[in-house]
Amino acid sequence: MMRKLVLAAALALTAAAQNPITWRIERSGPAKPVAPGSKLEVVVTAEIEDGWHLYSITQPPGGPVTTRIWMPEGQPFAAGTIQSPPPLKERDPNFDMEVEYYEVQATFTIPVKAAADAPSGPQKLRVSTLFQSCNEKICLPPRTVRLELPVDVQR
Amino acid sequence: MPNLRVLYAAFLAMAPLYAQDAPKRGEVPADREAYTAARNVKDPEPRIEALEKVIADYPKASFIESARFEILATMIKEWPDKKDRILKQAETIIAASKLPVPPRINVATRLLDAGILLKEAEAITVKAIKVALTEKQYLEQQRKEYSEREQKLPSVGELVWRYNQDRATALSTLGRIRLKLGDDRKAEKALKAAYKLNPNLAPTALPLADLAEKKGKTKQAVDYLVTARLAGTATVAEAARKLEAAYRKSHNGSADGLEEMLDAEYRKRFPPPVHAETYQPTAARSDRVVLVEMFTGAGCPPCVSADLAFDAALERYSRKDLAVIMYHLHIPRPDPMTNEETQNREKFYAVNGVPTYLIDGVKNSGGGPREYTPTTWDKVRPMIEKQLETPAGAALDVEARMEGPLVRVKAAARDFKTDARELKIHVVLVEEHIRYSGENGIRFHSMVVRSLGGSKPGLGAEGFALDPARPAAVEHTFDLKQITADAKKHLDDYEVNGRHGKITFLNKLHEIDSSGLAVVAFVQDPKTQAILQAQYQKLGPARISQAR
Repeated sequence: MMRKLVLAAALALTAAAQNPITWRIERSGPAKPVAPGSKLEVVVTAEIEDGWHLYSITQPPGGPVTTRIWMPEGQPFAAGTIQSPPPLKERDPNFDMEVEYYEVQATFTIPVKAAADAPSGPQKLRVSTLFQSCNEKICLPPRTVRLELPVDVQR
Repeated sequence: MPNLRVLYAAFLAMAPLYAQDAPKRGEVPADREAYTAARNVKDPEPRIEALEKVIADYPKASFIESARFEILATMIKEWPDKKDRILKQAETIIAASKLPVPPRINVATRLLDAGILLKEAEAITVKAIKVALTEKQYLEQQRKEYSEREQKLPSVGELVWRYNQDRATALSTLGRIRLKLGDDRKAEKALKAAYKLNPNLAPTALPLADLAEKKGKTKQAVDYLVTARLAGTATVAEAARKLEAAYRKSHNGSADGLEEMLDAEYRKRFPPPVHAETYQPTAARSDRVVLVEMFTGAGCPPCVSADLAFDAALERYSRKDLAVIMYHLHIPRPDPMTNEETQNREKFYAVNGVPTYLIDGVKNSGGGPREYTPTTWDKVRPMIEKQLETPAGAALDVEARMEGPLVRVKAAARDFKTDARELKIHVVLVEEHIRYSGENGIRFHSMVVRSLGGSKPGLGAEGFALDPARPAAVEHTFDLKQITADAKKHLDDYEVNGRHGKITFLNKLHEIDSSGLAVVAFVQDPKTQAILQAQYQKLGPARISQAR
């Protein structure tokens, strides 16, 4: 039993170590069915652990990887211009340059349009994020996270 | 002067690498939710009101100072002409902080970056310098704080150095504000004072170089640009460009000797932070050659202390005691010593970030800036020395020789002491020294991995499998022309399709210096990742060595 607990604790630590930034996706407003050609709004949220930064989607070059959020092709939904909260700006001693970043939590709003020929029935709306983070001791590799949101399409 | 580095050192010493589990949905603390909601308000006035409410509701939250700065940033962005309001918020920030200097410098930098209220920014910075502790007060304060934390007090020399670093930052900010105000004379005075305290700060050196050029003093400009070039940071490309132009101007249009001059200056300005004495084998010294595999990045600031700590290890131990190999990665910035095979190895070890180092297959991670090198060295040295007294799990013979552009390697392993059903022999081609000044400021990179024998696309697909029940031998040929071509292809492709978007490497380092090569071979259990034995073979005329 103890061994299992130790293993579980180790796994939890590993999971935390690999994910100082966790993402979630949800609909803005009630999750009612959408008609082909109609609009909906999706909210993507990053939860950021203390001591870590998520860099902005407008982070200038020369420093960490600029965060990217996009909707992959091959789905019956298309993204409009992503709205992001204004980032904090500060000279980062790690990069010795001004970086744009978020701490604690950041929410990004994606206006989405269902394709006119979107098939009826349950669909998966897919969003991908690419991000990278550093703290004072370590820099994490750029990582892509794929998020899925069930959306019911009804004509 | 209060010192952020002390807080940083305390953080490094006390904080676990990842202090908490990632918050899950529905478990976000109320203060964080409120802060996020306030920041997401789009209109500036309600946004500021919401942030002020969060500050009032959660006065002890960790993000309070950030929230106050966010109000200031909103005001600067939305109403740059509302001078009184911005200054009132600046005063609020300064009054609320326990530290007299950092918030003032932070406020002044924001005004400088926005190009507004520069006279006021100047006054705030002057005040910060004025209210800073004297060196004597600072030393007394540090002694008290370290004693309260029951931590070992750094040497007086190191404390004075830290004191001067922060004072230099404040003076540098003042100089840059005055430069923007058009007062070159006073700007130069402040920048020179900063430079005297810290001659390795790029944000100080670059404007000083511009001022020198303006006066036609090209040689002086070169000196400042050498600083900016060697300091690394985000301005390294700008510094490289300006330095080459100024150097040519003062050397009849030629750049000959520039790199050699930078080598000498680097050695002078950045002496090794750790001087390791030669290892004297103990009575318990075993037959093992210890292997360090390190994942690093030339654009990775916290990799510096780990890179330099393993340089110290290379100085302390002979290659009969220790082999070190460095896998470069494009983390967090592009690194021209990266190749497809170093990235494959990253996947095999599921490397969570850089720096990560494995001592005989046991993973550790984390580093810090140059000043943290002694601490990193104190951490890794006992690990290496423990392994030096641990018997090897196999005998390994390696023969490597060069034939024109080919490196032919034979590795034979036997006498396995393991329960593993499968082992692998790895043969790795390393370049012993590569000169490259990237963003993290390290100029001389040791034991850079150029190729891993037996690499194929796929997770852990490098190396040669063997059956531990019987002796095994492998032969592998490294084709330098092919390795160079592959490295170039990788770098060319990364400039266009890499994760950093479209970039241009400062230098592409695909060319291999065949006079400085070595082969490292090792036997590994791919399941446990344990290293049974390693062997280092410098290349030159054909030679044979054994590790038993």
